[in-house]
Amino acid sequence: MLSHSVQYLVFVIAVFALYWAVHRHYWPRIGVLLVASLFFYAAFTPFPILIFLVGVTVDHLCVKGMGRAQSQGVRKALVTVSVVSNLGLLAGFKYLEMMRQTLLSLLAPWGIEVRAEPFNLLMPVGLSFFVFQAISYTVDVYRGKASAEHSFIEHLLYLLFFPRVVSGPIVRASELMVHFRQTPSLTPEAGGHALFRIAVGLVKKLVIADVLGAGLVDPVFAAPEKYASAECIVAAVAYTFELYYDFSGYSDIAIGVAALFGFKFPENFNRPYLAKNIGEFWNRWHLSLSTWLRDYLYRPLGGNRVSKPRVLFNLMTVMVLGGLWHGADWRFAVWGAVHGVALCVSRCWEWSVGKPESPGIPRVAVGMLTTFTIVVLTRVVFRAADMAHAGEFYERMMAGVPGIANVSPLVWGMLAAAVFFHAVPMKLYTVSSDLFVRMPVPVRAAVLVVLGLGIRHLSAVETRPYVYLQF
Amino acid sequence: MDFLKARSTGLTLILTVALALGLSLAPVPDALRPLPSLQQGPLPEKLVALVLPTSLSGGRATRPPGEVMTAGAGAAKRPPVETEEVEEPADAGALVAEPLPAVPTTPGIGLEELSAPTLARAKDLEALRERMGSQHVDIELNCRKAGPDGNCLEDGLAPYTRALAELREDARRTPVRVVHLGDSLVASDHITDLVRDRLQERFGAGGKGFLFITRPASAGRWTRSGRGSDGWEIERLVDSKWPRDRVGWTGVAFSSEKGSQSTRYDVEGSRVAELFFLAQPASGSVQFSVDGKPLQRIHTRGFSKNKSEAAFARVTLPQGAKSLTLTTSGKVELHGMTLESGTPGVVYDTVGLLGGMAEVYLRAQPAAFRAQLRQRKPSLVVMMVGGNEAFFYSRDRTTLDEVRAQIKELMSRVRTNVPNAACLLMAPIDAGVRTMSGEVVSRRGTQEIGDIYREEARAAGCAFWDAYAAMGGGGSALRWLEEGLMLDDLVHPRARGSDLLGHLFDLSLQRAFAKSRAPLVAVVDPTGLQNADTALARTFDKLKRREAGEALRVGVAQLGGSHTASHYFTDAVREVLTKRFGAAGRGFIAAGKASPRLEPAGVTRALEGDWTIEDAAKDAPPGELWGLTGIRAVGSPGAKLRIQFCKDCPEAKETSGRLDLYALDVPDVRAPDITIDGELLPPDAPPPEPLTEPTVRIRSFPVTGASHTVEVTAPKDGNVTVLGASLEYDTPGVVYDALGLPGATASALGAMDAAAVDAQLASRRPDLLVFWYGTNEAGRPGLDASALRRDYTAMLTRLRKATNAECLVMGPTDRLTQDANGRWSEAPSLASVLNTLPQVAKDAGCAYWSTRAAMGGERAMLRWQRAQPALGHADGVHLTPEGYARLAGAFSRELLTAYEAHKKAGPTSRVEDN
Repeated sequence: MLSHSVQYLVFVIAVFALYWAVHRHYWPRIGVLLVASLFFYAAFTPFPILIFLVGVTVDHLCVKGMGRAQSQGVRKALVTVSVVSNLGLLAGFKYLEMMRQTLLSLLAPWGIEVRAEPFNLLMPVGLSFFVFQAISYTVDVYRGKASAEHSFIEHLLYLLFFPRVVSGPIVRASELMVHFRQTPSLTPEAGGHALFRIAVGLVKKLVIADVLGAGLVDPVFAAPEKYASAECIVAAVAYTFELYYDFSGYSDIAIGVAALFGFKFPENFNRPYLAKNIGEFWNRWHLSLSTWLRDYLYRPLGGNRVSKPRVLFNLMTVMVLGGLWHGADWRFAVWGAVHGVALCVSRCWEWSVGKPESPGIPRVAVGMLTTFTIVVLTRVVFRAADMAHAGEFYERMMAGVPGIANVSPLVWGMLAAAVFFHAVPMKLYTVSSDLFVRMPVPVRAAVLVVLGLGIRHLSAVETRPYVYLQF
Repeated sequence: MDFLKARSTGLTLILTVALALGLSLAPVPDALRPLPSLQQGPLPEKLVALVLPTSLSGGRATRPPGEVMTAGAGAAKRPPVETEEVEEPADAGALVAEPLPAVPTTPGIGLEELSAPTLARAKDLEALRERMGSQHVDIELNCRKAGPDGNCLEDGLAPYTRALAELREDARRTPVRVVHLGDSLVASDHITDLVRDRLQERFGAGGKGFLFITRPASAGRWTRSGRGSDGWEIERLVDSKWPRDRVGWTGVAFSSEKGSQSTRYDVEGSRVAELFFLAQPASGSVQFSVDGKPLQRIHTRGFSKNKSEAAFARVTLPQGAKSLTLTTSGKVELHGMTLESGTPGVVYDTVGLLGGMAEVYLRAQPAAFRAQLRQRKPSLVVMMVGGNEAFFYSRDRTTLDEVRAQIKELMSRVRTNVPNAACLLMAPIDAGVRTMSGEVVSRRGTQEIGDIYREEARAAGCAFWDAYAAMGGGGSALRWLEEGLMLDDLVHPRARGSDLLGHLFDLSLQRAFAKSRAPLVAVVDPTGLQNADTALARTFDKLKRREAGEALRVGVAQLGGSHTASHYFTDAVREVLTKRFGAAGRGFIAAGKASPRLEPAGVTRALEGDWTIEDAAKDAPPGELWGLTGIRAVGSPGAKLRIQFCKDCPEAKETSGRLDLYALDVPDVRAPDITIDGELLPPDAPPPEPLTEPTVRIRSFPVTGASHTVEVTAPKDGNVTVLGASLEYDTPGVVYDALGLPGATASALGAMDAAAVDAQLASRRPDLLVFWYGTNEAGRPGLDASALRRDYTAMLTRLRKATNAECLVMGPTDRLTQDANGRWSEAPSLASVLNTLPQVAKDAGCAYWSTRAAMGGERAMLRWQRAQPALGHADGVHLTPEGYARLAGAFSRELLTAYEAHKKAGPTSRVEDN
């Protein structure tokens, strides 16, 4: 049950009705959200819920222990247990097979025996997001930034809350858990904005991302040798926008649905392709992940408060690990490393020439174009099945084979729309949302139905799961 | 109520749902329904399907990319028994697997005439077919010409099968051409290359056929185009601005707008090149150069001042040409090039356009379409479109009526333009789509379009092949995706999936051909190694023990005629076996003059002085003493014979072995001088009793090292008769003796002195005797088959008894004879020998392997002669070195496959080593 399906919308409406029917009472309110979250996850597959229960239990015991412990050493030991157990989950289900394959290829030639059979472990949906969010809570408790007084149910709901359980955003305890005990409210404006946000998310995902994906990206990446160089380049650009509209569409729906229940999730994107340098790009892309990496990895490593070489090392470490977080494949590490190198170069540039106070338009344009080019080129590694395929794709891009006929007018149109809606000022969204909120209820409903009809007709290509569902 | 207190948001949701439901159920156009599925079935069911997640309503859950755990992930591994229900019942028809046509039984599935290597690959594909639930679907022949009484006078494929029959009977001097038009499935040439290879193997290769000037912008492999320079302007019929009024069925125009352009073709084996171009006013010229040397300049200027038209220029290529380069001068527009060998055979043209549809081919200029098609004189035109039509239909961007009209028009155009050609229409293959919820389901409309194609093919008198049913019907694309046979786009098969489709189509063509005629000779010629499991059990056991590390020698002795004597076959088989099981020496070498054929094995022979080489196959009286190959070398006094083994082998001082010399001792004649590695050996001790008659004497000498030379010098007062020599090492492995005599028959071996043959053969300690006789028998008119069966069986029984070896009988090659008009037909007794030898093998308890079947069966020799490089000799009897190597590869593979099967089947039994 993906959040762009009709079933999900029906599910949300049903939970919405139940939730607001009991919202004044803590246990019924929390119960509705927890049962809904478990039901939602079970619709994918119920088995991982048991794994998550074990993980939450360990975390919760650690949190409670930290709450009671006076000794800093004990608190440190408990947070270490929690972090290790969470990373163990991630390593076991996500990276074990990759490590086995890597060891097999490295050690087998030396006659060292490595298990030849694959582990055949399937990764629970949303595990990466679950683990990062779980770590954020226990570490925040350790740092004194979050309360250890939350109940097990709250802890469980915090990690499995259905609007975000699949692919985030990674929400801190201070942004979600503390609100469980507060009686929620939903103003007409907030509700209207939430519905508008969900509608925008659906359009982003179903109309723009999926048209680009199914109409060009999938076929070209599946067999780049069948396409001209220009078509491959357009496909790489289209994938860059597909990924943004896919994930930001998902995030819009998640943020909108959470808002329907009175919760405010953090923003995940800030028009990343307008970034003027790669550092700014990471301050605009997948914000909940990049801030997590900043707070729980980069800063503990020393962040910027260390020597310059160490800063560069920290940047590379964070980017490689952040890359690898996306998938158990060394190509993600390569992708992260390339971004890391770009960040280091950017940082060195800033150190040597300083940060311009108000860069001129040419400089901004060059910066944006360079950053976007780096992002597009590295997306190829991100999207290709493996490094060999990525190599073939690059080769094809550079081959200079003429022709662009396989890019259909619909794809061109969506690409233009993608660029336009990415570039227009945010005020346009705000004004549109305000306009929607001010509409009379029947008109709002009519607008939503018309929007649904539009989606039905415009998204008449194959729709696909969210890209980030695999992470 | 608090819910209502949520006020406008709750009300908005309620009203939105009500409006959406109301609109979906109201009598409004379908386009205005937000949830059209509600109108297409019982409302409660549809509402449940809408509300419940697919995983809870029994459907396949979303399968996210990658190995992520979902309810559907496990299910995805299982082949779907039934297809799931989808939102729209209109689609259900496309998803429910139809009962598929039964596997045809007559005359087999079409594997009979494939050569051994191709057959092995075909069997792999058959296993894949079984696993995927794909089906052998016969071509629906339909009727292209009906009599006044309504009876069909000519089926839809008749021109094609008739042309192939003429080829088979060597009654045709021009190629049989097939023109295959299609979409991206054809563009990749992954389906058609298999069909082309198989047809050319069965009926001879007529050349590469039609090739583009360079790769059209989005074409994949270089296999169906020249290697063009970068500046060609390319316009395709599939483009939004397609080349109007210029291009025919070839579909792509290549123009040299930006100065001189060039393209290069690999033309090895081609003798005729024909350029397809546009003749137009003020057009430039094209220089043909072969291997860098100018050959001919073609002017592409049109005769008419105002008109452009499709034109052609044929150029004969010199023998041995390797590459052909076209260089343009001035503005020219080229459409393609055909390359043909100029010999009878099959030429399979393919034109695949990415995004190709019937409508796209109808964009071609009618006159150019006609001219280009007529120029090819095809016997068959295959149309493989429909996939893109199905895509557009599933998106409501076309209608079934439009699809029908377009395919009808395309077939009409083909039939009108080449009325003497057969035509065949294929149904589109199954494809999948991902739904709004990310579910992967079959694309709707594919089967409907297939049904329309079937109807229209019947009406047009074209044959029809249901590729959809062959693939496995509705849902097969999903199974293929899960099995890795389909690309993630759910539309295009991967290379292996394409191979499977090509395999199924090829076999359906072959079945149609087989049904259309009787075989030229009535024989039962089994394909593959027969009876190996029982007849070769001890040999296989010994090989197994050898492979497990036991220090064993496994001896194989192959006896036969010139096929064996040429050493090409045995050298190749020896190489395969020794590579796997180890090499224990070269084995037996007959005495004789120097022969280059021995050099690949590192053996040299030399004769000095006066020698006579006597041959048992040349009217020798029966009962004489001969060497194992039926040869004896008789040297006059003082003459010297030298045989050197392992000439260029690296020094291996620790290798020990024995060198055996086979010679005749004659009464009252002094023994010859024998030198081993330059060292003269002391004279033999006299025999205990004086010799009364010539006797075979086998002298054995221990040797150390890899390379050895034996020299025999006749005494000054008498002759010497040398039969041969052998070298074996003490290292474990296989020794493969090649004991062949050109022109020999089984009866020639039987006529030699039995005791001498038995003793010599026993000394070779064979575990397996391989007999390859029959080709010479096949050339003898009036062969007495019953005598052959009786005598050959008796000889096999005798030799088996003498050696305690197992045996394998090989059948004759496809021996043909040529009449005064140059037409080939079967050798007079080929059928008789082919029918007898399996019986002989059975009677003597031997395994049997038909070389003719391995070559490809009926008239295989003709095709092997015409292959590039030639595999069959011009005499219709022998093979070329390449042919022997190919046959040896097939034999080795069959033998080792049987060995593997034996290994898996049973435990090793200890056998007595010979």
